[in-house]
Parts: sequence; C-alpha cells; structure tokens
Amino acid sequence: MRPRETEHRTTVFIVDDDAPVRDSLSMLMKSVGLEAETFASAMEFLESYDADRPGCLVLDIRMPGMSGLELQEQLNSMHAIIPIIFITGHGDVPMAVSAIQHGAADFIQKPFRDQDLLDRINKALEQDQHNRETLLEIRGIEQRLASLTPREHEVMELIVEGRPNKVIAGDLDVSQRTVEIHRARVMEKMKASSLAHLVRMVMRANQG
Amino acid sequence: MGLHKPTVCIVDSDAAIRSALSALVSTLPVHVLLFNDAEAMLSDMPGEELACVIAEVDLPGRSGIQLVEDMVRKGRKVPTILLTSYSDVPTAVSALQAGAVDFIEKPFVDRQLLERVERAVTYANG
Repeated sequence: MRPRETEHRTTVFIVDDDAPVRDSLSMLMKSVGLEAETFASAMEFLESYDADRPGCLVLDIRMPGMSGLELQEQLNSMHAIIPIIFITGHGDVPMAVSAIQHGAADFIQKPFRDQDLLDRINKALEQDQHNRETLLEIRGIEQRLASLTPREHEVMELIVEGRPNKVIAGDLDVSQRTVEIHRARVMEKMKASSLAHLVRMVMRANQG
Repeated sequence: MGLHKPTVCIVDSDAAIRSALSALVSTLPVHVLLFNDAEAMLSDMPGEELACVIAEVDLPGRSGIQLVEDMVRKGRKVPTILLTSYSDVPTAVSALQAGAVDFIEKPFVDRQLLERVERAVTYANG
C-alpha cells in the first residue's frame, strides 16, 4: 500500500498518568523516528480516538479513573484493532494472562530496557499494518458482494458450492444460458480471475 | 475415520501431579493420555481426536512453551494450557504469545482448570 496524502502517519499513542514517564517515552519514540502522541488519561485518549489512525497503544495499567484494562475493554467493545502494549510496575501473572487473552499484543514490566520496548513496539506496528491491510481487503470484497443483485448472489453461492451451470439451472428453474450470463456478471463484479479466486474471496469475507 | 472420544494429553515429569491431573480430567467425558515430557508426546501425538493439552512449563528437555511452538509449527492448533510453579510475567507473556490458551499458576484451582479443559474440548467438538 502506498500511503496517500489523506492517510495518517503511523503513531505510537502513549497513555500514562505520570508526566515524566510520558515525556521520556515520547522522547524515546522520537529518537528512533517514530511519531508519538501522549495522553494523561484513558478518557483523554478515548475522546480523541480515531479508528482510522494506524499505530499502536502503549498503555499504563494502573491509572486513576479508567484503568488501562478498562480502556482495553472499551476498545474491544468498539471492535478497535489497535494493538496494545501494556506497561506495569507490578508483576502480576494473572493480570498479564488476562490482558493477552483479551487481545493485548504485549505486556511489559517496569523497569525495561528501551530497546526491549522498541522491539515490541515495532512488532506491534507490523501487526497493526497487517491487520489494516486484511481489513481493507475484506471491506473491498464486501463492497463487491454488496453490488451483486439478489439473483446474482444466489447464483454465486451455488457456484462457490462447486455446482455446474446445468445443475444450477435446474435448482433455480431457469435456462442454462441465463445461469451463464449471471455467472459471467458475478465473476466480473467480484473481479474474480477464476473459480478458486472467487471461493477464496467469499471465504475471506466470511472470516471477517 | 471413526468418531473418537476427545483426547486430553497431560505432560508433566512429576508422577504425582500426572495422576492428580489425570483423576481430575477423567471426571470429564474424555480419554486421557499421560506423558513424561514433550518429546514423548510429540512422537506419539494423537490425531484429530486430540482436544486439549495440559503441560507443565518446566519440563525436562523441551519446555512446555517449546511444545506449544512445536505443535504450531506442525500446524496443530490444539488448545494448550500451561501450568507452572515458578511463574513470572515475561514467561506468562511468552507462553500466550507462543499460542497457549492459558497459563495457570500451581497450585491450581481444580474448578478453574476443569472449566478451561471443558471449554477446549467443546471448542474442538464444535
């Protein structure tokens, strides 16, 4: 994907109630050429949260008001895909397990080495880009699916099941010629280069 | 292929823990297989009927985490619950990132472990 001008730059979003921590994390990101934005609370982050902005979230667990885990819950309920790296001052295994089971990309204990955090951030950013590309691909397929007429949709489902035109014609009680026309329209609208390609796209859309 | 009873593999080098786990898991409608270490389980791994693996992290030889990685490499996405007596956050994080579905500290609560196994077995059947 070529970044277009309207697209946002990848950003590391830092949420921590401790100002010196925010500043030092932000400086660390900038020192390696990463864009960083800081927030003093989970609420402040949520208020400016934009699902279209790529990046990752570096999130303190323990904060007054909404905790990091509560923010994760909120983001999950919004179906947010931004990868979360939790930072904690306390070694709590059940908490780490639960955070990752609920989708966190990583969980790191203080004190950590800068390079260790940067490695994990880079991994999270790669994951975010991959997720966004997958999502874009699925949305594209969904749009094409939505452009099919109900009849074309019906024919497509039978094609995907592997039924030959003759059988589909019998199933739908139409001529084989009509099925051929629908089939051609389906392949064209779906931009499918082959039956296998069409099947893959339909499976992909169903996964999403 | 016939219908097999879902199988749960227990991998622990401690015989007492193996039999305690076996007694616990046998209260579910599953077939239980016991292994001493990861190598033994990998070389004698059940097929499709394998529904869940319960393994100790600190196994002699390949660790429980390596066992998860080996299974993932073999394309076997079997829900694996790792148990440990000496847990810390980095180990828990690597276990889950490797693909374990859960990481439970010993001494474990019977009910909690059973619930996890039951969920894994139901998932494998569905």
